[in-house]
Amino acid sequence: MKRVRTIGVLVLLALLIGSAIVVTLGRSRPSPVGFQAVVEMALDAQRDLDQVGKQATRVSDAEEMRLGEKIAGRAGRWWPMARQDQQDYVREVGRSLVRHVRRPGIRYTFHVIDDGMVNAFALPGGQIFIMRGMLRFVETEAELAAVLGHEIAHVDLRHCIDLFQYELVVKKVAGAAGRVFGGDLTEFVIRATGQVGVLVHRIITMGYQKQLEFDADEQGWSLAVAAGYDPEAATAVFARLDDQFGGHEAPPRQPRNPAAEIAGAIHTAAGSYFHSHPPTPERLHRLRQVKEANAAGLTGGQYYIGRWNLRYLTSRSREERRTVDEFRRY
Amino acid sequence: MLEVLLVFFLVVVVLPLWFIIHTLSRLSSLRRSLDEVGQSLGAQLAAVRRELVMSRQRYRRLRQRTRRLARRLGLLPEGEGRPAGAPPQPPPPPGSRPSRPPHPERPARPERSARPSRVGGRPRPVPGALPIPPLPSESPPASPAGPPLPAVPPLPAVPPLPAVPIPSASPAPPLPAAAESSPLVAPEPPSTPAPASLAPEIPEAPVAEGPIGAAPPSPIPVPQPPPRPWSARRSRIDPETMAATLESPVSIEPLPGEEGPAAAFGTLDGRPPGMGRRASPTEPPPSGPSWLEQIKASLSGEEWEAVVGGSWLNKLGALILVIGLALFLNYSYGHMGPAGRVATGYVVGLALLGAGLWLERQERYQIFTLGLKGGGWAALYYTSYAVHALEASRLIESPAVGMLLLAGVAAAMIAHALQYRSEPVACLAYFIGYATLIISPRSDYSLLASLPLLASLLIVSYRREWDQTPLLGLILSYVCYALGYGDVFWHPPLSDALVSGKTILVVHWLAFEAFDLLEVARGRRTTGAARAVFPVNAVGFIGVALMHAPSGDPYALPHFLAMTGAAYLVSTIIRAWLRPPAGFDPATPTVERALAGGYEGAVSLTAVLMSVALFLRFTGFRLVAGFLLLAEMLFVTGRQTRQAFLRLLGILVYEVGALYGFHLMVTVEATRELFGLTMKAWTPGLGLLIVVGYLDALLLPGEPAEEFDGQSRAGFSVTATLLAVVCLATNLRGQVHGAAWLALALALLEVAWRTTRPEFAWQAYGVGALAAGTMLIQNLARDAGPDAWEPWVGLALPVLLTGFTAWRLRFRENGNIPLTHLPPVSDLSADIGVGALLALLWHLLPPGLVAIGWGIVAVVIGEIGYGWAWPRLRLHLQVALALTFGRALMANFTLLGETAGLSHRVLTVVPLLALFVYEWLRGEEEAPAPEAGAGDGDAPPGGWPAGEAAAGCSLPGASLPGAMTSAERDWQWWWLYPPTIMAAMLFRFEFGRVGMVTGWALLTAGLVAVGRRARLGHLRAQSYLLAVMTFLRCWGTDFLPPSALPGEFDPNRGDRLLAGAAVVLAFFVAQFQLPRREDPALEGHLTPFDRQFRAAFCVLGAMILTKLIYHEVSGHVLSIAWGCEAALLLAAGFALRDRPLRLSGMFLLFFCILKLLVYDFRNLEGAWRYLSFCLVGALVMGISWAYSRFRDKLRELF
Repeated sequence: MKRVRTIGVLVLLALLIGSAIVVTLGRSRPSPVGFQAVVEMALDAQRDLDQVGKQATRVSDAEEMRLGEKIAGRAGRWWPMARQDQQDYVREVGRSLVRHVRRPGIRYTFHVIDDGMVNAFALPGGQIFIMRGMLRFVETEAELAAVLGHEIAHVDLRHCIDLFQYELVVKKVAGAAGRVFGGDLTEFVIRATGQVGVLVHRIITMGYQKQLEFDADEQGWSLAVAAGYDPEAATAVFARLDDQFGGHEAPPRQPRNPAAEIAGAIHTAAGSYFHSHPPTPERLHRLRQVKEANAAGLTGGQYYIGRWNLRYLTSRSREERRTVDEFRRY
Repeated sequence: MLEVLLVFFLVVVVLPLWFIIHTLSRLSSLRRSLDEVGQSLGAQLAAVRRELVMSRQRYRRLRQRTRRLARRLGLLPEGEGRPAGAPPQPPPPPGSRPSRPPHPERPARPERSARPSRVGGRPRPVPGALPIPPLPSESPPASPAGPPLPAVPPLPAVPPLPAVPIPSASPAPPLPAAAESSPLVAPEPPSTPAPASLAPEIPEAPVAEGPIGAAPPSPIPVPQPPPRPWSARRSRIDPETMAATLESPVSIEPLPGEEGPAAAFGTLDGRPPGMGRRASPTEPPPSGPSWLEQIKASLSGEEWEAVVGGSWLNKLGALILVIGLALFLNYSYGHMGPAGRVATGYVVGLALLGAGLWLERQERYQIFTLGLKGGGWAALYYTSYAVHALEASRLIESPAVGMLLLAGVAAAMIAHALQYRSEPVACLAYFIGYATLIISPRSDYSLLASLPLLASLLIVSYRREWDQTPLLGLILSYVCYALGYGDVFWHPPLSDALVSGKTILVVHWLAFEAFDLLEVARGRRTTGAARAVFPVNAVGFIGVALMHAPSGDPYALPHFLAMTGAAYLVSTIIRAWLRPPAGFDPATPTVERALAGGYEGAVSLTAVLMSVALFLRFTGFRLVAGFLLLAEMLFVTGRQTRQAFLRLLGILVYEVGALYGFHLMVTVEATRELFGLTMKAWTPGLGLLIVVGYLDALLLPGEPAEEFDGQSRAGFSVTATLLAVVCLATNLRGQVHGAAWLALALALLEVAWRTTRPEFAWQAYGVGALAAGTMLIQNLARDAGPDAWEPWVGLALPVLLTGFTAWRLRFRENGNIPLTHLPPVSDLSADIGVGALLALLWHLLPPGLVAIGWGIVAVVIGEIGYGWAWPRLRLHLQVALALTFGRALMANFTLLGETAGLSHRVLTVVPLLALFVYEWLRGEEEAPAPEAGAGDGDAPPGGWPAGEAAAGCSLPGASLPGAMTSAERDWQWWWLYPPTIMAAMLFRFEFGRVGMVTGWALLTAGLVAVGRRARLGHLRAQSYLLAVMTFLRCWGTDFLPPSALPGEFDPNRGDRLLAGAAVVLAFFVAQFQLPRREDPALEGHLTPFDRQFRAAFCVLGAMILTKLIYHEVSGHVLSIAWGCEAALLLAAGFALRDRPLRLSGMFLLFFCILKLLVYDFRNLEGAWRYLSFCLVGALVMGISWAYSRFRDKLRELF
């Protein structure tokens, strides 16, 4: 037994020391040290539990679309719409993306707001809004497809309706209770209580909003690639966004004592919990990981870039330029 | 010139004056007490009466005790003075001696009743000294009746002394007729205690012999002496002790080591009287009324007005008159020349003196004449002073003649005053004398004029044994000097000065110091006012000198203080010779010793003055060296003479030097080069302090030693340690403070190891704790320094030092360190060593490898802890594993990079997994299960024995010291969780949020299998938790990562299907790893949770499979697919005799039927509708047939 134990100790030490040597000799990259892993695991679990409730209180696609149209109608009154040719162009590009969504029952509608801000957003029920500034910011139709794919993914992955889902349930329950038990007071109390619950739920689930952005990035990339657009377009547009709008903050200094390391880890974990969007470099990193993970599927294909189409606001579905510089081959 | 003057002064003035005073004092010493009583009680007769009543009672008791003592000593025949029937007193113990004869130089006090009156030789009653009438039963005096006392010599003839008439404010109370003829004089008031030198005269006072016990009961309660402490009872017998003993019928038994009672009774302290006889150290302080009490008593009656009007106003008027006369003599105006002014002064003085002498014959003017006589003498004195000193009245040009005249007048005045044997009168005379000096112009003559006054005052006080006069003279001398001649001390302003002011002041100091030394030699330093001479002389001399200290010469004051200190050093030696410390009771407080004439006060002054002189004279290293030299002188002297006080002074001076060292550390930033090293400029000086402090501590004897030796050692060594700590902190950079202090702590521990000085051990503990705290802060919370060597010096060195110390304390001999200290110190050393090692690895290794490094440390210390039966290291193993786990969570799952296609995440986490598994197995091996075959997580039926559940209880078969305890074993289960957590996280970060479910499912199945076979309930619990998490993840994500697209667009669809199948299969495998409920062999080893999860695995697997089918199969054939799934589940349930499978299939089948009826019937179209119905119907029929066909077997299964 003692010999076995001795061998076990030696093997274990060899394993530990050997792994350290191998890691030291290998290709290393600067790695973050903090509670990201633990926080991510916790947010995963929280999201899984939240999904149980979400799936139990699903609203139908038709109801979701009615809600989206209602909100979009208000948005249309707030913002002026862009020229019709721009609206048509974006709509045609968007329609080419929605063929591969998971929820085909959703009818997507694309709007171009006449605003110079570089932004885009989605509303429940397939209402996709993109600003004129974003339309000018992208350089190719593939990049536009990546942006639209990201917003479509938010709808397709139910990120948008999830924000209103419990609110709708509360409204339904309150209305039903009011009808059954009578009186506005009952309905008011249930609705108020439910709203408080919804608010608490939003605060609690705020931690994994960044994860939703990552998911939308990934599925948006998949939708664009499935539609035949350049897989590099998403990373290009995010890189340019980071160049122009990123903070360009100096990388955090490597902590030189354990206490500073732990303090920095706590600071990072606590600060990032309430961020709705992850840092752009991290999104870029994830997108590259997705591309690497799907490298096998991309091999042998050619994907459209569409510089000409964007310049002349003519979608690829109308006219596809067959020049070499409009395609990327893998 | 000064010496000539001094010799002249001594020969011409002091010696004759001393001779005269000495002679007079000899003659009048026996009347001293009576005069004092008469003077102090003259105006308060009523109070005196009360006191006299009490005095009579006390005197009677004292007489009885004296007679008893005399009988016991054989001085009186048996039965004499003893009541009839009283038992005879026991004979004196052998070796006792009779009371010794009185001192040859001091004649025995005659009976006061035999003193004739000086005035006309006619005996007359002394007012205020009322004769005590014989009591009715009082016997005649013993002296004529009894045999002569052998120890009492014949009384010498005493010249007639003048009786001081004391006026009585009220008529004396009627006394019996016998009072007139009583030979007794009033004894000393009981409130005035007899001085120590008079104590041996008690046996030779056979006066007032009277019957014992015949006195009427006293209306005034006699105060009983308070109980005395045992230490006081062990001391030499004092009068109170003797009185209490004499009242007791038991004989006096000498205490062990104590002289016999007779020897003590001879002189009360067993020593010959006279020069060099010291008062008993335990003699109580005088309990007589203070001045304040006397004043209160005098003002309490109706006589206060008479006192104020007759005495105080009289003296005040005389003082004012003399001052006026002095001003008159000093004033120049044309109507009267110097001779006229001098003549006027003499006439006024003689008139006042003559009037006083003439009026003193009348009793009513006794008090009044005091002022007249005092004022007359003052006028004569000042006029004699003015004859030479004042320009306006100068008749004598020669200073010598002037001084002779002045001395003669002073001598006459003092001689006259002494005739009255009244200390207040003498005080008044001296006060007036000093007042004349104060108001006179400053000159050599005025300076010298203070000397005759001083000499006469001291000589008279010494001879008369006055307490208050020398103190008054002391104060007046220094006040006079301070007001008139203070600046002369530093800058003699007089041209052609005969004598410098400095010399006069030094002579003053010398005179009072000599007086005090003589008092010490005489043993009179226990009375109240005399005790103040030494401190007041010191304060006066130094204070007057400092009042006018020059500011220009930086060395004048230090030199003066040093010389004064040297003078007090001489005084210290003399005092130590006159009053050896051995003569004091060891319990006597130091202040009492100093006031009683011990050397402590003088040597304290020496130390203080020398220290201040050093501080003013030197700075920096020289000052430190000076303090050290002084401290060492005191300390070494105290060590050689075994004088704790000297050692204490040495320590205090050393502490002062240390304080200066701290001051240097704070204020001096300069650096210097020494031996090629750059250090703070003060480092050599402080190093010297540190070394000397430690050497002194080592020079003192180790334990066992006297208490003060231990305190002295601690005083030196603690200060040296503090200095060393701060010195190291100031000279070294912060990152190595901990290591330096740790080295110091270990050096101190080494000293404690090798010597019997426990305070070094405690200091080592303190410095070690400081070092540990500093290392914790510096290395965990502060940035490392820029140099690469700092972690090595700051952490690697402590690792080696503490590791060696921990091993040495645990496995080698303990030296002189107490055995109780060894385990905690060894463990704490190990704590510091392991902590430093972990911190060192943190600094040296890249972030991703820190956990690996810590893991290696955990393995090594764990093996040592197990192999050497060292519980603390096993605790360190637990801590190191916990830190490794935490570190891996923080750094290793987000680790980027790869080697040979393997991510660094995998390369670093997998060995850590193996580490945790190994350590758990190792712990299990070291702590065998109480019951053979029982797993860690499965308690035996009936639970553990209560005794073993207690923390710290050794396990059976492991009762060796240091073996694992049940508490350690009970916490072993915790290490089953990190591997699972790390494996789950590894899957998560390697395969993503969705793809990792396969790994989790496989891990679930593996955990169930291992937990089932190894009977580890914790592993099974982990598998259940992991199964729930896997199910939720599958349910929420549907095996679809965000990047996956549904249908044929997903390039990874096959992988996803495989993943889903793997999860479902893993769940079913996990289900069949768990035993069936009906397995009797496993009763007692499974929890209800296990049984529930067997079914839960089945349900979860079925649900996941159902949902996977829902997402992957088109809606048209979904019912058919679900029906097939239900049929498969039922078939498997039948085949495997598993009811959960069958029930799952049954439930799914019913759900499928419901879907057909509710949804498909309405939504499906065409062929899919009837196909679905037909196929599902056929399945249901088949299943029904199977149930019917195998009914009997089913019943068996149920």
